[in-house]
Amino acid sequence: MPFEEIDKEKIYEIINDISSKLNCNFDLTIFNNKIFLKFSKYIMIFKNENEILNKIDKEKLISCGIIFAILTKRDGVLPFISISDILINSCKNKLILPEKLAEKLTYGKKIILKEKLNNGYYIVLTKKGDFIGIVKVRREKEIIPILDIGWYLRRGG
Amino acid sequence: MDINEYLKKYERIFEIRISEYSTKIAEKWGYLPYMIERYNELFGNGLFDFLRSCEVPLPRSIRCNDLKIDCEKLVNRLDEKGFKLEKIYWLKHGYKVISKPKSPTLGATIEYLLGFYHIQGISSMIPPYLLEPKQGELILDLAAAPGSKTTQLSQLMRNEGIVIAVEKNPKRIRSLISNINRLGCKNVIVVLDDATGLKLGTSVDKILLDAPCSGEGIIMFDRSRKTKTPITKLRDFSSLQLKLLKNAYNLLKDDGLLVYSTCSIAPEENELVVNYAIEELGMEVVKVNWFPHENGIEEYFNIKFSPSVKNCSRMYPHIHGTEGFFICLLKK
Repeated sequence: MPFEEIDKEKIYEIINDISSKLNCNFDLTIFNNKIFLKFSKYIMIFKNENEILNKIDKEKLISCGIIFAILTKRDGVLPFISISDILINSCKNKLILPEKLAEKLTYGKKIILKEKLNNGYYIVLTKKGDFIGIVKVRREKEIIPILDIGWYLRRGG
Repeated sequence: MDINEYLKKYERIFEIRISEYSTKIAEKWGYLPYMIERYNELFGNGLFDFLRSCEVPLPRSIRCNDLKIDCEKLVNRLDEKGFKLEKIYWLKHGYKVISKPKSPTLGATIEYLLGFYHIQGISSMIPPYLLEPKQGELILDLAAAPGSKTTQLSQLMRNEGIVIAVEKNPKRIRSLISNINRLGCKNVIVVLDDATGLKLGTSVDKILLDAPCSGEGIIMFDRSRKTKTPITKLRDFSSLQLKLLKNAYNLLKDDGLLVYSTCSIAPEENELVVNYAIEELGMEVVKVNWFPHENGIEEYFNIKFSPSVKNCSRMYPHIHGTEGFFICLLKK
């Protein structure tokens, strides 16, 4: 699968974009000694191991490390669910829901809240602090799932 | 000796005379007759214990992923949801599920989706431990999808070093990548390639080869395995396994370790293959003793293998309460 290495300038643009969407303040040192590779719509984060990567047939390389971000048509660049630990520690747009309610999001169902919220993007956590996914709040009460941990099952994991 | 010559040398192993007795039993239990003839050779008086054990589903088991959660916390969280777990004392991260609620299923809990555990057969958790993967090593997992052992290697390496996971089936790559991301395995490179011809510009420290096989050890999960593999197809599996092993040998560093395993109890897919590694490639079998097992089979239908195949390990549902499995640790 063709892929391209993303340079630092472009990655900072992506990180800024994510930061403004989810109100995050990333500690950029966590990205030191990492490389970012774009495979189709997925941007993957991997340790800087060019020596071994250079020895692998590039045409046969499918993924490296975990997915950092995804490029979507509707929402532009979004952070991926597999970096939930970074998002939890860095982002302020958090929505905390009871587990039963949050579970609905993993089936792709939208939720209507009683109280009002500012429109925009949020990460959803349960009351135990478990990361459920990324949602968009519309009309101040509608919670629309965008990326959720149900993705793993839908991908056959 | 090349693989075709080697198979010709042992051709007799695939020429099984089927007795009337085996044909009758095969008809009654729904197997291909040649399989029963072989089970009779393998188990003798234990034949019916084995056949009965293949009719009963095994309890599910999970591997706690301590990259993401403390295992005691996981046990408590699943307990709150009605899953009772029992620690498998000889597997550091292994638990048997001894009772479960009607809902959710084991593969649909929030804890599963969060990557706190992976559903994995008991014996299939053993091969990665045998390799004793260390932080900083370069390890190759051939035939990697859906990634149970790849992600276990990554877990044992604490995300340090590198695991190269090789899978040739593009459809199975999806589940492999999903599991890598779900379980938080940050040190895995996935390569879509046929492991029989894989070339790397370097040699690796260790290799896990859990080879594609007939699945004669997992009949309790998949009844179609009773009739799926005629003897000609079994020979094809042996040939493929030999090719995989030979290329794995070429990719391994001197003194490097290789685990060969299958979810099959067929000597044709196990001792016959390991025997090639010993006799033709000069590899040594490393004896391991820390898990319940029977020794590898030295003689089968009057065909003698290298005596050191007895240092390989076999597991059976009627003796060990696990899926049927074969594991062998080899040193180059």
